[in-house]
Amino acid sequence: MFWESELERLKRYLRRKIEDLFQELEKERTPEVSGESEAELEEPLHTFYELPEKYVVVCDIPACDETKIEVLGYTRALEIKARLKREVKLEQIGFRCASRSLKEYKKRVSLPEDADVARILYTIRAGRLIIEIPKKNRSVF
Amino acid sequence: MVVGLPDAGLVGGISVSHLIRELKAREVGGIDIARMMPPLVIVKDGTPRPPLRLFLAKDSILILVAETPLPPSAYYSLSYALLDYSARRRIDYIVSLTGLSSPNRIRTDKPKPYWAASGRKAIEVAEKLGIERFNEGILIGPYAIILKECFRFRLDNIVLLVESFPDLPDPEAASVAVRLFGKLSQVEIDVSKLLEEAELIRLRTKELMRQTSKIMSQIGKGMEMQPTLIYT
Repeated sequence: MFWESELERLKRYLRRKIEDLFQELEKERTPEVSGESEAELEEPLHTFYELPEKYVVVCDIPACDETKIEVLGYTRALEIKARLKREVKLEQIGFRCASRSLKEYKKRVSLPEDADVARILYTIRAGRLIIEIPKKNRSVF
Repeated sequence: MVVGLPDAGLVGGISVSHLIRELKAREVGGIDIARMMPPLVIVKDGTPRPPLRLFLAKDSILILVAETPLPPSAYYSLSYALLDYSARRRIDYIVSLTGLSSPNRIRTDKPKPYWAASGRKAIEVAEKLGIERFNEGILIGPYAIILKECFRFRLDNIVLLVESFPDLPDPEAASVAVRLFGKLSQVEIDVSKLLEEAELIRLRTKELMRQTSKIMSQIGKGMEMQPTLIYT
C-alpha cells in the first residue's frame, strides 16, 4: 500500500532527525576550553577531499585497535569512534602533562548535502581511517 | 643546506628531525627575527634557543629546522635572511624538503616525489635523481619565496616535494624525502627508524600539525592543488 511505504519513509526521516538533534545537544554540552582540552585531545586530525564522484575523509588514528572502530552516518554528518590498542600516557611520549592519557578517538565531521551516508565505505591503511562517501545519484563503487 | 619548515604533512620538519638524529648533527646556530616571531622561546638544556635552529652534520651539511609554525608575516624576512646567510657562507645548494598536498596520497603507501629547481647546477643535479619534475603548479609559503628569489643571490635551490596528506603528519612521505636527500648528498641515511616510529611521531606532532594547518589555510595553501591559469 502506498500509505504504508510513505509512513515507513516518514518514520525513517523522523528517526534520523531525532538522532541528529541528540548529536547536536551532545556537542553543545561539551564545554569549549582553550588549550588542549579533553575533547581536543581525543579528537583526531582529519582531512577532507572532494573527488568528482565522492567525498573522502581521512582520519589520523595512530595506535588504534583496528577491530574497535565505529563509523556512523547521520544526515550531513559522520561520527567516528576508535579505541586505542592500549591507553597512551602522554608523559611517556614526551608531553609534560603527567595525568593525561588517551584511550579513545572521537570525531564528528560535517558533510555536504549531497553526501550519501547510506553508502559509506571505510578502510584502514597504516593507522589512517579512510572513509569514502559517494555523492547522491552517482554510482561509484 | 637542507631546510625543513612546518608545512603540508609536516614532511619538512619530520625529515630534518630524522636527519639531525641519524647524522648525529650538532647545533651550531640559528635564526631569529625580532618582533616577527611568536613570543616564545625553545629551551634546551636550560638555555634558550632561536626559533629556527641550525645544525651541522658531516662538516658540510647545514640543517635548518623550525619547531613551531612560522607566522606568515615573517616569511619574506625569514627567506631573505636565509638567502643572505647562504650567499655569505657560499652554500652550494639549498635543498628544501616539503610535502605536496595531493588526493593521490589516499590511494598509495608509496607517495610520489617531484623536484623543482632554480639555478643551472641545481637543475642538473635534480635531473639525475630519477624522479619526475614538478612540471606545473603553484607553491605557496617560504619554500616558494626561496625558490623564486634564489637567482638574485646566485644560489642554487632544489625543492623536493613528496605527495602527502595536507593536514595529517606524514612520516611515510618524510621517509621518501629523506631517501632522496641521501641520494642527492651521497650520504647513506637509514629511514627504518623513521618508519618504525611513524605512529609515535604522528601522536607527538598532532598539535604542531593542527597549528600549522591553521596557518596554511590563512595563506591559501589549498591553491597548490589548483591548476595554473596559463596552460600553454
